[in-house]
Amino acid sequence: MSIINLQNITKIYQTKEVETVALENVNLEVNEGEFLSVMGPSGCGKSTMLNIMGLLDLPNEGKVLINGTETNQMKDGQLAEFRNETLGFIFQSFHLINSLNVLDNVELPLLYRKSTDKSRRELAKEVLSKVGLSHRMKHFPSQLSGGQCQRVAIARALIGNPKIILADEPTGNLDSKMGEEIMNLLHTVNQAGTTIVMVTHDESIAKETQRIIRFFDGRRIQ
Amino acid sequence: MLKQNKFISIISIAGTALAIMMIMTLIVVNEVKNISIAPEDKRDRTLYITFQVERERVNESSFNTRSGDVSPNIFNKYLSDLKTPEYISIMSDFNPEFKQTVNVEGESNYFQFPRRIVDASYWNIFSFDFIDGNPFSEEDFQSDVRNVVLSESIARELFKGEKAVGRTIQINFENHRVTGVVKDVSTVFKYASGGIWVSRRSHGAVLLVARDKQDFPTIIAEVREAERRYGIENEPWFLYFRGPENQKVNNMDNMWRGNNEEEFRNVIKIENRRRIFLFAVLLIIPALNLSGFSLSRIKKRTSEIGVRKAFGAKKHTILIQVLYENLITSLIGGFIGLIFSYIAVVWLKNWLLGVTDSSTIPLNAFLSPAIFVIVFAVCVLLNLLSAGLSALKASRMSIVNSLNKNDQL
Ligand SMILES: Nc1ncnc2c1ncn2[C@@H]1O[C@H](COP(=O)(O)OP(=O)(O)O)[C@@H](O)[C@H]1O
Ligand SMILES: [Mg+2]
Repeated sequence: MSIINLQNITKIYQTKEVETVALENVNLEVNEGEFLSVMGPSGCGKSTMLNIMGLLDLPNEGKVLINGTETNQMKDGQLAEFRNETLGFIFQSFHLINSLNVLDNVELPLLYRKSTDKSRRELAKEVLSKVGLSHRMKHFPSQLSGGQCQRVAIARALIGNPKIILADEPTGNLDSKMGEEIMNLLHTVNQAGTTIVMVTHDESIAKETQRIIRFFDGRRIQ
Repeated sequence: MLKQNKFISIISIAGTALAIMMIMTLIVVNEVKNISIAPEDKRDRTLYITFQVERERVNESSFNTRSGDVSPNIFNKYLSDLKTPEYISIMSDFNPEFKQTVNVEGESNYFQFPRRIVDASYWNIFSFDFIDGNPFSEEDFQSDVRNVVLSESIARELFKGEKAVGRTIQINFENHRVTGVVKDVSTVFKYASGGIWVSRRSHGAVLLVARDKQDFPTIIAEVREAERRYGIENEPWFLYFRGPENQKVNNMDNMWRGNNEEEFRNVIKIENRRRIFLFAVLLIIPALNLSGFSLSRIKKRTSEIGVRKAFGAKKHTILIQVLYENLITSLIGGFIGLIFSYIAVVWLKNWLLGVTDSSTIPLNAFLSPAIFVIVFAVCVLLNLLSAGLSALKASRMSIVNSLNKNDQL
């Protein structure tokens, strides 16, 4: 059974002057445990698709099924809980909170579910050691390199133990060596059973993953 | 957050401090006049009659009117024997600038001191700190000998450190026996303040101290009954007492007191409205100023809000968090403002409280729980007014727009 199922998704951005069709009738199934790459030229709708998949944005038409659950009818609050439990996010620009140290950044998802301070601390330390940053827990994002920041972001995405991780160009802001480190980490995470959908521009990085799909002008072409 | 936007934080803390200082200075000045605090420690169960109007209707539209503070005759006949109050006292005004000639009997060294004329019951109403001797009793009051209580500083000036109690002084060349010496009382205390307290019947303000606040309605009814009795005994004249009023109302500076209950109530209503309006302006103007800072601080956090929501934060969680963090700035500002308002009150006491330089300010009035509760409430209000709207908008912005910092605030 597929863990992510997009059915006939259409997304139109309406602004005063123009109407942009960002996605047009997109269908996609992702299997549990899969590592999927999404490719395509800039502006073809990759991020839009990932956001809809991640329940961060709503489609104008179509159905989004995650883990067998239909999400279209869910209210804001339910969506928030669902995201918290099922999904982890990694962004190109890391999106760490600058005023929080590494440990607090990583703990963030657990703030929005029932947990104790102590268990949060312990889990955060555990995932930080997985990404190799145990020695940087008290640092602030501004004191870290780009690669380190992205590893913190991966730890944050992992801490809630989500079934799915959505990564929008996770290596886009990194040099190739750091990018490779990040990819190694993601492969480890995937091998442990987590489904990953990743947007990337880098053909060689995409080739390492199990499957590649391609978009052009809001349509899936492969 | 404080770290993140230091400059803006500092400015908005300063702005809040200034606003709170303005508001708190007003409130502190008012509270100092209202809180039950030694020596006026029964304010919460005291009723005041400060004005009487005697009238006779001449025709449809005109009256003969005699009015002023309560006269000794009226007091003796209609107020001194009220049943419900625990204590009843009539006392003259105390004006520190209005001085009498005073000397120690047998000495020709003349001083100028202000006085207050009081009865024996007066000493029950307030808690004075007697350094030496006693207040004069009802018997002393009734006797032919005039008695006085002196303030510490006046006793020191008159007797140069010698024992004052038992000695005789002359006020305007009349003999008075000193029965006691009390610690100086600040002129913040409208009724307890004094320099020389002389035992004699005077016109002035009548204070009715209830055993319990709950007796107020009964006491007021008794006073109304006294007016009726006057009306029967003095036809065609009738009487109106302004009051009895509680501490709060009595403290309002009404320019015009009214010739009857209805007019007086109107004056109070207008005064109350004026205060609410003033308070609202004092709150809204800084709130508008601060809202710009709040907005720019919240704007800087839109992507953080997006991240939090992506990882499961709900709208109301974000709203509460943003308001809470803003409230911390408000509270820091509020605390600083409160301290500055104390400084302002102490520094500008002549002007704000109408007290003279020599008088001390009752500092414990500043530390009353009521004041802290008020500061907190004002901070919360200021916070909601200044940041509420931006916080609400920020919490409702779509996640994708927040993450991408697509400005919609
Ligand atoms: N918030 C938005 N408002 C209007 N148009 C948007 C918005 N977000 C994306 N678009 C448009 O939708 C299209 C797809 O964008 P996006 O999904 O970000 O592409 P990609 O990630 O593949 O580069 C682009 O043409 C983009 O300009
Ligand atoms: Mg993109």
